[in-house]
Amino acid sequence: MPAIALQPQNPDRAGIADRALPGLLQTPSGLALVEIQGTINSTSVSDDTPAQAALDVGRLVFPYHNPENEGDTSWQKRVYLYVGKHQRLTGEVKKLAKPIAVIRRKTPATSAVPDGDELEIAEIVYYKLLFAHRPEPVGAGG
Amino acid sequence: MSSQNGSGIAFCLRSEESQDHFRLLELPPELLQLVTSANPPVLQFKSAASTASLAAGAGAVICTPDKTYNIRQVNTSNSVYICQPVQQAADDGDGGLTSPRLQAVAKCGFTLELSHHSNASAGSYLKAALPLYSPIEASSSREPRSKQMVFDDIPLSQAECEQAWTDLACFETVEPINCFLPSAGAKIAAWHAILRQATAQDIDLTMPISGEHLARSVDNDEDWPQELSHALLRSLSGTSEGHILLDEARTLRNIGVDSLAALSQARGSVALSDWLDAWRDLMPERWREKVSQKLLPPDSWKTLSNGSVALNADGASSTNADLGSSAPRAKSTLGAKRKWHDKFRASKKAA
Repeated sequence: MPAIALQPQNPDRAGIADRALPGLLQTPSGLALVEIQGTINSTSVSDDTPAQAALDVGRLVFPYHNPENEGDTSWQKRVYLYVGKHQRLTGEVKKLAKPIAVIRRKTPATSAVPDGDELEIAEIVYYKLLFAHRPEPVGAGG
Repeated sequence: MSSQNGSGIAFCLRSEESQDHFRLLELPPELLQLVTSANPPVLQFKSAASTASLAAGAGAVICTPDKTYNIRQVNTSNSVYICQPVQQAADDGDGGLTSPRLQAVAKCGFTLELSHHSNASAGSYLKAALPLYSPIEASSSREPRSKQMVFDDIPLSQAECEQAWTDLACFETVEPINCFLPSAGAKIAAWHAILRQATAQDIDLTMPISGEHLARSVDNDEDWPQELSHALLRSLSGTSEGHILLDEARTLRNIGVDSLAALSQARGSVALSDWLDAWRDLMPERWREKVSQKLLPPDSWKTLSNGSVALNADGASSTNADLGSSAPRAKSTLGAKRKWHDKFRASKKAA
């Protein structure tokens, strides 16, 4: 079997300029990892929903994060993911013991081999958001 | 703590049909350093050609130019999302104001973990893959393949393949393109011709061999390709590039093994003195004194009951490859597979 090339990261990669996440979680391409113990189920998807439409899950909140003080790491211990109106997941920012390369197939336009299988490292991620606890009920008003 | 409204980042999930496809690959420190270096190399996913030739446990591997890592797929029951910030369409007519939004664009059910390879030597793959080139005939029952095509089917890095290729004196012919593994007899015949040429033309093979001398040494009227002679000299010098300087220990050892193999081929064994004489004759003047059966690894040959000697079939395979290092490495792969024991050993002792 021929070898499949895995191209290194494109040094000029850039994602969407909007930097929503705390600096620590930002990557040049914008890719980030979110791990949830369990699955997200939704009743709101119906046949009428267009296939491209994204399902709104909720909001991601870093309650103790202070953009002015990036050196302080205590905020990493707590992250909330509000799911819908009544549930909240508690999690944390976790540094990966071994960083993870996010790999994808190269698009034909950027690939040197026209129709060959070529992969590339889209991004190397050093932190993930880990939600390892059961959801807790919260009031809609907060 | 009323942080739910207004603050934070909207989190949404791309519908399953339109999700992207990603794979997650854990990077050991060494590999991380390599891929984040200023000039990261292209890595390669490789796997063996056929399942039949697979050594136990050798599946897909990932190769840097000179190292090989085993890939293990580790499934997770958690939902791992790969997320990307997206611009939310400004549909509120508020002059293009956007709010931050994070979209999960893909979900991954497993991570690829890497562990250090493995005792599999490229040499054994080459021996299995290449047709044998012997003085009598070149067996060519297999489809002709180029060197790179052969390497592509070996789940080891390019440098490891290249080293084994050099060690085994494998060669690639140009017309037609094909690759061969020379038999011991072929190597001895080619070496003999080189020696003869060198003696006739007063070339000292124990000194660095210049390009001109090299051309004259390998020039012969025999019917084997010159590539074989070149490959042989490379294998005796131990380097695949640069000028050729025969390595004394290597030359003594390799010619010793090959001459024993060639001599004992007909009857399965040869008298010790006959072998040593032949071996001595095959050495450049300056190295003749050093010929001794002790130069060969003890497990590569055996003394038979009638006093004659023969090559040990199993031991011989390790003489040309890297010596010695295979045994401890085999142990470490075993350890990687049975990781649970390693994981709990520490806590067990502490308790």
